[in-house]
Amino acid sequence: MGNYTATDYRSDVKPVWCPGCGDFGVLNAVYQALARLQLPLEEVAIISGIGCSSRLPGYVKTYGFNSIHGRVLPVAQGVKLARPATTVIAVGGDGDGLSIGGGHLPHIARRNVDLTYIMMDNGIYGMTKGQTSPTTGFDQETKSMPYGIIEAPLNPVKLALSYEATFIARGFSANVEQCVDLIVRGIQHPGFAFIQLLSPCVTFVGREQFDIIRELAVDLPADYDPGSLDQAWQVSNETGKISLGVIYQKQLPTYEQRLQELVQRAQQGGRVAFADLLRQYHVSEPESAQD
Amino acid sequence: MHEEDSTFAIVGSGGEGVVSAGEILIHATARDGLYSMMVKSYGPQIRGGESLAQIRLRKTPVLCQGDALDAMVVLSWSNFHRFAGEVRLGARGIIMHDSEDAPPPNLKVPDKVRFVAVPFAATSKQITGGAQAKNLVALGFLAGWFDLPQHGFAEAIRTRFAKKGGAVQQSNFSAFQAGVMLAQAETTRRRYNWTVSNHEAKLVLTGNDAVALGSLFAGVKFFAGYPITPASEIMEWMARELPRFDRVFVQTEDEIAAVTMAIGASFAGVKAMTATSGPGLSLMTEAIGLAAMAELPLVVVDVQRAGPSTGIPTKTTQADLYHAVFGGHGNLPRVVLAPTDAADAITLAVHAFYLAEKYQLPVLLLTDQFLGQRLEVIPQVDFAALQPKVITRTLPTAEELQHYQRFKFTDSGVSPISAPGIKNGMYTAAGIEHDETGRPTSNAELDEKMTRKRALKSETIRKQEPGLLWRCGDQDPEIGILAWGSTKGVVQEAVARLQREGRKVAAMVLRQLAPLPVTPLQDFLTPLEGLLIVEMADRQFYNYLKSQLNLPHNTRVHQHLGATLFTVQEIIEAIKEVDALWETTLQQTIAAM
Repeated sequence: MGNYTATDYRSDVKPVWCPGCGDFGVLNAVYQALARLQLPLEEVAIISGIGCSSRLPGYVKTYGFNSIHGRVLPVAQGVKLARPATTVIAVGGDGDGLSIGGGHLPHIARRNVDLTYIMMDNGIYGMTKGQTSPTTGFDQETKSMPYGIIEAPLNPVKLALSYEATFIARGFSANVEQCVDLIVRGIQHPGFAFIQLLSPCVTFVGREQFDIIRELAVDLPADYDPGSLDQAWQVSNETGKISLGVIYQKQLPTYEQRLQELVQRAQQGGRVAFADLLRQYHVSEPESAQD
Repeated sequence: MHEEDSTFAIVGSGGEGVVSAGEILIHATARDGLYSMMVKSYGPQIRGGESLAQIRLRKTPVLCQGDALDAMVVLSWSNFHRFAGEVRLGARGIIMHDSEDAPPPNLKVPDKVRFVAVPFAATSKQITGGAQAKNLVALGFLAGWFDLPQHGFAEAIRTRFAKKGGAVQQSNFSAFQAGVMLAQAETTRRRYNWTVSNHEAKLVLTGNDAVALGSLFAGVKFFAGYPITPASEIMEWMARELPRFDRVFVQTEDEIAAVTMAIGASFAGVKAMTATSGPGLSLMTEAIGLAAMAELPLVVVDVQRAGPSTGIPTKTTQADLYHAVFGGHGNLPRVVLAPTDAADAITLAVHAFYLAEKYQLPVLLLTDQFLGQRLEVIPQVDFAALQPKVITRTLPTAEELQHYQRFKFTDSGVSPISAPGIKNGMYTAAGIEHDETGRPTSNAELDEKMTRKRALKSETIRKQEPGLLWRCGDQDPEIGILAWGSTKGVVQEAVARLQREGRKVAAMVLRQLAPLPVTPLQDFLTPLEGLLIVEMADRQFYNYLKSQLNLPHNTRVHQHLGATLFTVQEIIEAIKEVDALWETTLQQTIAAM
């Protein structure tokens, strides 16, 4: 195993993010998490969709894929299932993951593909300069809803819970240490790990978003049991505070393990060669003509 | 050898065993050395509704579905009106129907058509205790009437009902034999000789089977798909077979997930594909652009069906041509291949992967419902000859990996491609514009160079690969035909018949639509006195050709907009019209001189 430090994972591409953007904290946490796990650069693939946060793969010196809007999860699953030895990390924003790409979250959860999905949630569309996102609160005004927001915000943790994701965590990008811990645990979790990282947009929401989150954020208590679905539901329903930490975790066979079992079932009659398969389409003269 | 060439239809309601009777006929006669093709016509209902199977039988390979029916076996008339318009009964055709089910009073048929009432259901009841085997009585009657060889039927029926056990196999075969005897008791029928001396091994498969088989041979390691008629059989085939070969199949939540998952797998270094039909292709189009931009190999099969929007899922068309060759935003290099028949579908599936992997771009394999779902008996396929086209990607060399540039400018437009696991090959693939290393850019000059690099691949393909074309007919033709994909068979037959009449006619059928093989096409066109363009769409093929070629002055388009198959006869008439047009023009020119 190599002796990697966090800076070894840094590419020479300069982030396009605004100064003070919450995404810097997430990026920093990704570097440190990879170093803590001592993952070889060539064995990691970071996949994203489109948006500010989705620029992240270019800033990491591993394999990366900045794909198209909303499709981070299927692209990431394709990478993982085609080459299971790869550590796959999917990253993206709240718009990418819950609006255009919202249809993919339940399906990766029910497959339980072994990859880690970091949703960098800033509650706004930053890349397109300040329109409403699916997590923008009722109390805001945005460029696309100048008279106030009349749609209820989505709750990513609650969605992940209802889709029965096997690992659900929430962190705050200003608390890098905790983010590193959550990402490490997410990568180590066998199965689909969903991590919501609150990552304020200083430009279109404002610096005060950091202060608001800081005020509301609390770490989950020491006696919190991530194995308890009841407690997880309570956390997901909280108002007036934001609990951070691993909210829910359970062990279920991964998609890759189930796929292995399926392959065994399919090959019960022995492994097939192409020639055997071709024979099924063959007809030749009847062997006997007694009928 | 006798020129026996017969076309039969079996019609009835869904669930009456129309298609299974047809499949038995095809497998049985193939065992006795005969070639056949079966097309199905059915509604998009789940059960019930109309069902029609049309089978053409010959001693030599069958090129198309056959113009007029020699016999129509009617299991029930209840839904006949729904496809009455698609049934073309020959002038001396025979309608074989159940004695208990009289033909509808307003049935329009040619004058000399003969009706034969047969106790299909009653015989089935008598032999098996139920009416379920009436399709086999009817099949036996058809086989007996046309003197079809009997040996193959015993085996085909046994194989068909293998899972149901010996008693069911036996009672079904008895029902079949009873049908044969009823027909043979008929003394006024014509006699046929279907004896074939030289049996060769044959394949019985659909176009969808062929695409799947070719893809597996080409080494597909990953298939992601979403069900859609008439492409679902490819997905189901992959679901069944890929796990047996340690390869991955995923049924995704939608078409967008299917194509993007395949792109992810391709990025990870494996041959990946998806298959869909028109509506699915529309959904996939953005992602096809991603594959082109990220320069990742990808194979997308589009089994075309009728209509924009939902259209008619169970009927054929060639109207996705514009979408295939032009679809997508931005300058989107792609290859579009179109197989002409089941054997060609195997070949072109292999070619699709070959071109995708070699040139690192999306390849669309454009088939259609007619080809995808028809069942064909074809001669043995030479897989060994296809082996050289089964290639793996060219990975970067150790030297290239020292300062690896994924999108390096090259003379061919193709740069060495790495994948996760390759040390020092790390890069970020992106749909966003990027420089040679993959770094994002919005620099206009760099964007122009990169766009040119990607476009260069089409030119490289034109230079390095023979354009995939198929030609038949006169070497020095006066009249030419251009067609593409699955209309090849009907065109080939029309040309052969016209040549026998002494006309100098030839056809070129495109198996590669993009990049268009301009040079060989222009060489074919330039000396022509007239040209007929055959297509199952509203002048899409004509307009596409016109945009890149100089078409002869006398060019006529013969098109079907609706989802009915071309007949050989109408192609012949259309060619004769082009010929006449030429004569008229010639005379006018002479008169004006």
